[in-house]
Amino acid sequence: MATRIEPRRTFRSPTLRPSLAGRRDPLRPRRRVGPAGRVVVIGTVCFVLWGLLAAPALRRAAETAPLGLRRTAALAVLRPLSRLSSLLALDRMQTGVDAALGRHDPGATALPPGDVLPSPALPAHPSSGPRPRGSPPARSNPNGTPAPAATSGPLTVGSAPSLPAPTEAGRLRVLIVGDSIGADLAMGLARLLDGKGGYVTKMDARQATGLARPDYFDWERQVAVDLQRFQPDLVVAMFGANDDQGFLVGGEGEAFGTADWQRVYGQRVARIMAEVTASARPLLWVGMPPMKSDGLTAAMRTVNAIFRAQALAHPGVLYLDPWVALAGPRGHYAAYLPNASGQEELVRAADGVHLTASGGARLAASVFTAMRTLWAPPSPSPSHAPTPSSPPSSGPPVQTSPEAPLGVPGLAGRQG
Amino acid sequence: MLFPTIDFAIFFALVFVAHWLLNPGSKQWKLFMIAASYVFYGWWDWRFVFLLAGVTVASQAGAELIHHTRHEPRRRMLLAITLTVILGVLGWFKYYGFLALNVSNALHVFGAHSPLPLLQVALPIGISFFTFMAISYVVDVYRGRLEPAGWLDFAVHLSFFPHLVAGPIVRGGELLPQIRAPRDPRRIDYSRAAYLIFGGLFKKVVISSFIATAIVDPVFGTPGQHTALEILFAIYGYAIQIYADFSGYTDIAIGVALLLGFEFPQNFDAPYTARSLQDFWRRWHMTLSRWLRDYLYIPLGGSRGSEWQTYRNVMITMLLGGLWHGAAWTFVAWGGIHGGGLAVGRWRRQRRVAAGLPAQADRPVDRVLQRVATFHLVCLGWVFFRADSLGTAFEMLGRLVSAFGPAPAVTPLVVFVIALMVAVQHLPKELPARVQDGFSQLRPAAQGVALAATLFAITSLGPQGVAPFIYFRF
Repeated sequence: MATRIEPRRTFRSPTLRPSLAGRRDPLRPRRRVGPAGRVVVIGTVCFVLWGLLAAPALRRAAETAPLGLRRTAALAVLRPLSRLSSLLALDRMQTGVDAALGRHDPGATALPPGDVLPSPALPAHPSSGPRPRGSPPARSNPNGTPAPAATSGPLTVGSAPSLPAPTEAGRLRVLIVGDSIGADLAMGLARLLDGKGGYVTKMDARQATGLARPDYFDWERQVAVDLQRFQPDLVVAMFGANDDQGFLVGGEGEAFGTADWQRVYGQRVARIMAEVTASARPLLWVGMPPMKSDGLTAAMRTVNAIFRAQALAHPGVLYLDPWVALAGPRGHYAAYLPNASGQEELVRAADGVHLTASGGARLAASVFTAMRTLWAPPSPSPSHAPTPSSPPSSGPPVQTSPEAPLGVPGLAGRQG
Repeated sequence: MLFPTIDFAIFFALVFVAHWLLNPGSKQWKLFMIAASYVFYGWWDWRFVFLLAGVTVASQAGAELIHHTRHEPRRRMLLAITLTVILGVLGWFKYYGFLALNVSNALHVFGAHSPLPLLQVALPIGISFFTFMAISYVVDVYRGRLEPAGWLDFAVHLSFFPHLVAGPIVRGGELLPQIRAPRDPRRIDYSRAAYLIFGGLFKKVVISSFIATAIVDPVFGTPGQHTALEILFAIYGYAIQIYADFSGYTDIAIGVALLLGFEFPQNFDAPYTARSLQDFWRRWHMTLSRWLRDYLYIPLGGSRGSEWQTYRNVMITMLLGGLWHGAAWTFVAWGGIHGGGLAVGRWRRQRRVAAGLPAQADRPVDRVLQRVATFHLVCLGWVFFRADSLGTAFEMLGRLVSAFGPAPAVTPLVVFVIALMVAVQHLPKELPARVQDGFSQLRPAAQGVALAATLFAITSLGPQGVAPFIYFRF
């Protein structure tokens, strides 16, 4: 049956003047339906009052947004609104609710004191780094030699972050921290370690975070909290996917990638590395893989160079280049890669940034290979140093790298 | 543009005012609404606006040609061409990667190389929804149930932003007459709209986010670290999360459309009160189930053939319905569970009727047992729907019956929220209407204050930043 086309009507009858009062719905006498103007009034009251009540949270969200016109415009509106909210004491509502819900914003903080420009050359072992909040139990390495003193202070060149090979009786506690792509790795690594036994894993990976904006989420502080709470034997970190943005230093905007940006970012990386390794705890830092966007890939190369340089400057830190596990044959972004049996796998999510479960598992296999160097002596055997023609059974085919120490492809760092 | 964002609030405030000033139904209004909807869609990726426009043009051209052709074989051929174009778009963007990967790996087993290059095709948001709407429009024109709309009318119909990215799947016969006729600016059911919008926001921002973070994501992410009880509650939790997420979205969509004077069809009706899978599909994503019924199950033959043909048609419909949600074997398994469950349910009903019994036992205890059984069967399907692989799904199910131990992730709050969200579906349907009646009696200022307090509670209880809706991926 064809649809009947209704004749055009207008609703500009002189007998029905616009009114905010509303009318009764003929189908439901207790229901009043109203004119569009009434909706505008209700909506305006709603949003103005809500804006005043939620002003502290809105202002903080705007302040921690990426630098740019949008942030500037939002703050131009929200700063006076926030002042008015404070004047009327309406901001106490948000504060009270946050306190009642136990929200103390543990992640966010003012800019760290180290973020000062101009900065002197970065010390290799920052003595001003945070003091250790906890120490793992002293353990012996597989050779029976005692591990270096692991109670305080950064590792020095020559000390080895030795760890006993994990067993069911002596489980290795692995903390995995990172952003959302770090979560993809964390999931794959936790599954891999669960399957092997002898590990206790703890993930703390948070979406939309990184090291560029400690005013939004302060990973330096959060890592210290995680170390204290979980007391890991080994830490795996993967940050950077959200860090291709500028940040404020001393109230001035610093665009991504400038020399000062790199210096400040490097200081933040250094402080986290120092915090983790201060108690003779090895840190395995995983860089960012190539991205679908060329611009983002270039940005990831920038942060990876910083990670690598800092890893080389911090004994006890291993840097793993994920390019080896996740790039295509020519070193470019690859959505599909062959697994050990030659079957293709989709390793990257549709956004061209994140990893699929297969991609996470693939990177986790590389991380696990790197982890094993911490308790197993380096060996040139094929199982430790796979080649493209003989991929490891539990991991992806990888390429050897001239920078890879200890026979682990893609691995850089110092182990003393 | 996500509904629960400041961006959308500003966008909608501007659109609302312009919409009523432009006299809905006029040519200027149609042009404005197309532009506004395209801005809404292009907010994610402006390039896909051309895709939406292309599907609009292809569908409308096909419908016009079909309508003006008398020769039946030619009409059928035009229908086939038009559907091929629309389904080709859907297939390319949604299924090419899945197809190429599986062909490549199947041929690899025999040592052959696949002729299909492996490409990662970006998935345009909402493509499954607007292509299904386009298909129903063209088929309805072919069947003579609908006259082709004007070009502008159809462009508004297909792109109308409240339903654009995640439904409800509105048919031409429902929306086109509303687009043609002016809307009455004096009779906006703002109370119902506010109830739907703010209730939808609460479900999405508070309930769905909490359950996902508290139990679903950790357990589905690393099932090997969790015990049977945690896995059980993660499955229950996902049932609640996806309901809160998707029904929350469609409630907001329906509410937003109401404020613009448009009535959308209902999409959810207390689905976890269903007493059978058949009943569930009358209550869950209702606009999809009736689409599958009218444009897939019935054209396949429906229940007109033999019993086995009917079971086959049910199974094909549900398997394709599963694949509609995503190009992965987990979705095929999900469709298979529902198809198998529907077929078994039909077989049981027919056996009872043949034995002179009612199709379904109806004592109070039977009703409870039927609801519990249906809920758990639906939950079994959700395991495959949510898991990132069949392996993960089977690991979850395996640990459900083997990994006994303490369950620290099953907190009292998690249990309370899950129980609450199941319980509210059993409340009388008149209750929300009474709440809306009471709200409608208030003065405008009081209504604004009440909504501000509700919004403040939602934004305070919810996380900072809202994850995209689950159904945006489909």
